[in-house]
Amino acid sequence: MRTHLGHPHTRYFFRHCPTSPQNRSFLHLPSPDLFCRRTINSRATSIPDSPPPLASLPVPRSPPPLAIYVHWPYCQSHCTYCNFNKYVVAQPDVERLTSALDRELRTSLAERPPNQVVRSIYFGGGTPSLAPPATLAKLLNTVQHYCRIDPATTEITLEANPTTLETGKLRAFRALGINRLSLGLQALNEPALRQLGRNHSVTEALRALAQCHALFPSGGGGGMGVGVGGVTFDLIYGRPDQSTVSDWVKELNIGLECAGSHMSLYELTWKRGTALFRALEAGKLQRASDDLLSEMYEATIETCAAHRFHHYEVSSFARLEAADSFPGPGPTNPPDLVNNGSTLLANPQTWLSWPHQSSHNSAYWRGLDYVGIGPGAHGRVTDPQTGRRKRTIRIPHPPTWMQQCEELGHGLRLETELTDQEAREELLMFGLRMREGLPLSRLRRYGNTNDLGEMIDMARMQELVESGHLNWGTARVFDDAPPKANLTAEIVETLPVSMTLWPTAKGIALVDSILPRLLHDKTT
Amino acid sequence: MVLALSGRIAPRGSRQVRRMSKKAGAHDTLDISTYTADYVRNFSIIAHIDHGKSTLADRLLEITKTIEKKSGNKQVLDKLKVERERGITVKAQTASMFYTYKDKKYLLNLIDTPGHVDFSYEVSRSLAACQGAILLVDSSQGIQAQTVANFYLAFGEGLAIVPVLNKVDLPGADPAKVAAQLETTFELDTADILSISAKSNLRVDEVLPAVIEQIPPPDGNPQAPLKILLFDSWYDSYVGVVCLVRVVDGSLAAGDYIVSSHSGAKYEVAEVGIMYPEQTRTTSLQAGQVGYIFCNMKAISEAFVGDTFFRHRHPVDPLPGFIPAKSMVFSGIFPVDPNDYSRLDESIEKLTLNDSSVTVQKETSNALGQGWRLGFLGTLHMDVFRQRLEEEYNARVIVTQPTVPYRIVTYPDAETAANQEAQRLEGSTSGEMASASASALASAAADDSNVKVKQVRTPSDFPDSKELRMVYEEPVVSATLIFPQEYLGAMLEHCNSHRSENQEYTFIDETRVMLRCTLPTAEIVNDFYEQLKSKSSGFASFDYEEAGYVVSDLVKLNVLLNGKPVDALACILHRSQLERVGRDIALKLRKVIKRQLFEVAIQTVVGSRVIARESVSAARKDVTAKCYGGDATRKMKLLAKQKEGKKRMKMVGNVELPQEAFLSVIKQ
Ligand SMILES: Nc1nc2c(ncn2[C@@H]2O[C@H](COP(=O)(O)OP(=O)(O)OP(=O)(O)O)[C@@H](O)[C@H]2O)c(=O)[nH]1
Ligand code: SF4
Ligand SMILES: [Mg+2]
Repeated sequence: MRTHLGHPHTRYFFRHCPTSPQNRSFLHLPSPDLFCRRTINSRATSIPDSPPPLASLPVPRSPPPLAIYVHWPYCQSHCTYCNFNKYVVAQPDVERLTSALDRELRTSLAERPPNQVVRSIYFGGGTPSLAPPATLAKLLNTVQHYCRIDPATTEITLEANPTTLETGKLRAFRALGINRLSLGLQALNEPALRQLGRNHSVTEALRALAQCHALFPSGGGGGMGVGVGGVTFDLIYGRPDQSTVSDWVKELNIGLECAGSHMSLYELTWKRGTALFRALEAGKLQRASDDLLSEMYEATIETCAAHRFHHYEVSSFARLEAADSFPGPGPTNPPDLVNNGSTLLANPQTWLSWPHQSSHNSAYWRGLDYVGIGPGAHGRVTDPQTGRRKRTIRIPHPPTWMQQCEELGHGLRLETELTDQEAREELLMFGLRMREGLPLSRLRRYGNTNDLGEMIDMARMQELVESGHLNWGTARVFDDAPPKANLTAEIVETLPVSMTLWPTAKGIALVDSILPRLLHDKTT
Repeated sequence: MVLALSGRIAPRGSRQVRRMSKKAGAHDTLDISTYTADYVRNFSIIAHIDHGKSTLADRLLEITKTIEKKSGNKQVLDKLKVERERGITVKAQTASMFYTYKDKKYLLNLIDTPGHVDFSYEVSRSLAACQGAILLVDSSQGIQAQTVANFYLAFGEGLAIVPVLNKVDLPGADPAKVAAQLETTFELDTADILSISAKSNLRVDEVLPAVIEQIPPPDGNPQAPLKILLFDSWYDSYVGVVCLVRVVDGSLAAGDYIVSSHSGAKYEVAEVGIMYPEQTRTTSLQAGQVGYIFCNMKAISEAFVGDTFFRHRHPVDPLPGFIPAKSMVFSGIFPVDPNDYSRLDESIEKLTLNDSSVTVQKETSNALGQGWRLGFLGTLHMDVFRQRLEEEYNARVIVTQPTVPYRIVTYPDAETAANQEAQRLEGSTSGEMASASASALASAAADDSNVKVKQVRTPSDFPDSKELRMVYEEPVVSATLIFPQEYLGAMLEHCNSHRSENQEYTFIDETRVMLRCTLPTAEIVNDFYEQLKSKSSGFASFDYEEAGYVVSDLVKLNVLLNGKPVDALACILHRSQLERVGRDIALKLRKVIKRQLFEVAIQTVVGSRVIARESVSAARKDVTAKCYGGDATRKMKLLAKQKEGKKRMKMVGNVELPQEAFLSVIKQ
């Protein structure tokens, strides 16, 4: 048993320690569900008072927009690069998992203010497309019971693998209101797919993609319109089978030909504990050189720009819309990002609102609330009582998690209240991964400070502005904007403006060096 | 007496009494008053490094039953952790022994000394408490450089020398040959020379009889007025300041009042005793004997090594004392984490308590922040100090490039300066750069109030461009190298490449050569010795002593990172080394500086002249590919780690300089 309580406001949940005095009462309570709601409320008042918000700061009136993540922990087989919290089980007890997910979802949503509109829901994993549609139906029902899903604005994404799809099932998912599909292509090359341990072929993948396009059109309407939903896929570069930049660009071009409104293009991360990593350690595979990886990264952005895909986050690309199909104040002509990119991107007002960014992932990066449900899921929620943020982590191992859900109504493993400093650093860390950056208003709202200088060394920031890594100026803030389908020019006009720190194209590639350089030397 | 004493002394003193009597116990205070000078022998063991001094000391302590005889006794007098780890003696240690010879009981006082040249100050200080020395020579290696140096130290003091050949058990031992070397080199009579093996305890029992026979008893009159020489002192955290003394005349007991000739301060003696081998109380110490005293000194600085004490109101002429040890190299020491500054300050203070040969000055560096400039007796001394800081005080430090004490002599006008320079340069080219005349000149200059002599301890003290009124001088040593003759060519070459002058060599036997020359001190503080060892397959040994100053064509090499000077990387060089070192440093820095946000231009310059340039191109991409909701915790932990790592980086302008940068430059 772990006895170390790392954080003053951290609470660990020990499912396996019935003798632990702090947990004994948990196990004997007649109604864990009820109990939990009560505990959390009573806990809120017992938390030592956080420093009162600065007098000048508006106490947030409305709770932060809400995103929900649901984790499905099972896969059909092991991919060689993957270290997610996933399990390959022949006959998983789907029923039990479903009701546990539902229990936990209820417990979490009950803590939220009622009737909040949900910004996004994301079914991730694992392979959530293996779940029976009925499971997702039940969960979506539950969400609707506590909050509001607006079919026109709530982005509901399902992760899927090309192998697990069959048209019937996809239709069923679509019928449930799922409007966005994230397809794990990973590679468009047969030997690479085998090396990655994917059990589908390129042809299968492309067929599945076409199917998805038909069923999940962008904008939920038809064609490639603007609005909620659409199809996105993942591709990985920097793989051991790619020895030149053009190897990758060729593949990317195929991807771009069949792309929907969004793509996630990642550099391969070698994760300890994966088959690929072991092969690397054994000397059977080689990591691409830093220079090759940089070239691939740069080529990715350029190639995408040429196809009018905007690099809005380190590994995320959204299709640009011509102004006539976009109700917001967009450029009149499709922007030429390659030649004109710097001026265009230098002003976030002109591109921030481009419509196909992932709402759900943006919620992470923008510091919004997200409820994490399911084994190993992480969450970040604002305590309605104290207005303080906490991070939640669920028990990773499904049977253990399910058991606790059944007993306590949730599979919470630990819950940590973020200090102001942690909250700020997290906002900066996530914020600078997006080209739109970190607006000061966001820092004020979730980081309890008006003063960027409290967190970062302003002289160093200035240095990085001068060297072309960062921008510091005013920009529109989209954090609270209604979801994109409703974004009209008039609404955009009304969006608040804030001083904002955002990375340049050169800067975003170097965020990992920029961050420690910016942050003050003193640690909390 | 003892009871009376414990009644009188302060509470702190009473704790002392408890602690002090480790061996004798509270009741058996030793009475050594019957050991009159005739039955006392005070001697050191001197030798080259590793010739077995401390091992012989073990055997002698066993023979006299001062320590219990067991197989585990390995250099028991090497008590410091560094000594045990490195297998060398750093600090001289005194041990008293009782020994019966021809039915007479003797009090023998042995001092085990370090062999390494950096600690030769310890040897000379120890010799002042002795009438003789065992000159131990490894009979497989023969005479080595420190054998020569230490022999002359003892010989110069007029001490009786008992040569002993050690390690005769080794297959390569050739006692006859080594005996012959001793005869030719030192003109020692080796007819009855002892051949022993300290390790396997072979004929070690013959050593003490030889000591008693060949080393004269101390002279000194127990009835004469008290006269005590303080020859070593240290700070013990339990009992405070411990003074090791040799009683020259008179006798001394607890309760006596003594006065320091150095400071005039008066002390009441709280306890006297001998190192047996731990502090063991005795009823008195008298003329000829060597032992310790406690007299409630508050600070170690009061225990001035070389000081003469006399009885209150009975002053005597002080003994000549010692010439204080001079720092041979200076180095900057800085905390790796600037927040550790005050803790490190305390640690340095504590460590220097027992090593007064370290000089301490505060220093501030633009790259490394606040730190100290410390002076050491040599680079081994420096390294031992660093190791003790790290091991005994858990400190994490950056030690900068060592600098020798250069001098800047400023004359009233340029003409005088030029004349002086020419005159002294001439002296040196005519083969007479010799120490004596050089230092005579320098001190003549120093006496002239129009001439200013400034000592340079750090490159920041050194001007970027030389004024015409200035003459630069660098310290030199006179070096002794001993090696088999087949390495003569390599050794001459090695010395030449280190700017040696006045080489002369002699054969100490048919096969071994002793080479003497003058070398700039700066040339021997880096890896001169390591190279010497490798070029002679480990056979050459090396010793040196200070030999004053010579005029030198010196320049300061600055290191610029993106145009900003890094003071802690600057160094002073002889002009002839400029190109090589300049290129070398730039290259080494390029290797340790990681790619970062900005391109890093590395330049080594003298004034505005660029000697070498290198660059580290800017990083292009380092961002983690994936970061979603579930990655927040991990990513924040990583960030905390990066911040922690950044603390260990030194910022120079916009350049992050890793700590290794300072190390790699040191290892030229
Ligand atoms: N074979 C052999 N080895 C010996 C003998 N005496 C000493 N040694 C070894 O020589 C090494 C050095 O011995 P020390 O007694 O530490 O030498 P030292 O002269 O005190 O060395 P420093 O204090 O560093 O100058 C050790 O490994 C000893 O075991 C001997 O008689 N025969
Ligand atoms: S990559 Fe996706 S499908 Fe493959 S093992 Fe990981 S979670 Fe399962
Ligand atoms: Mg020794």
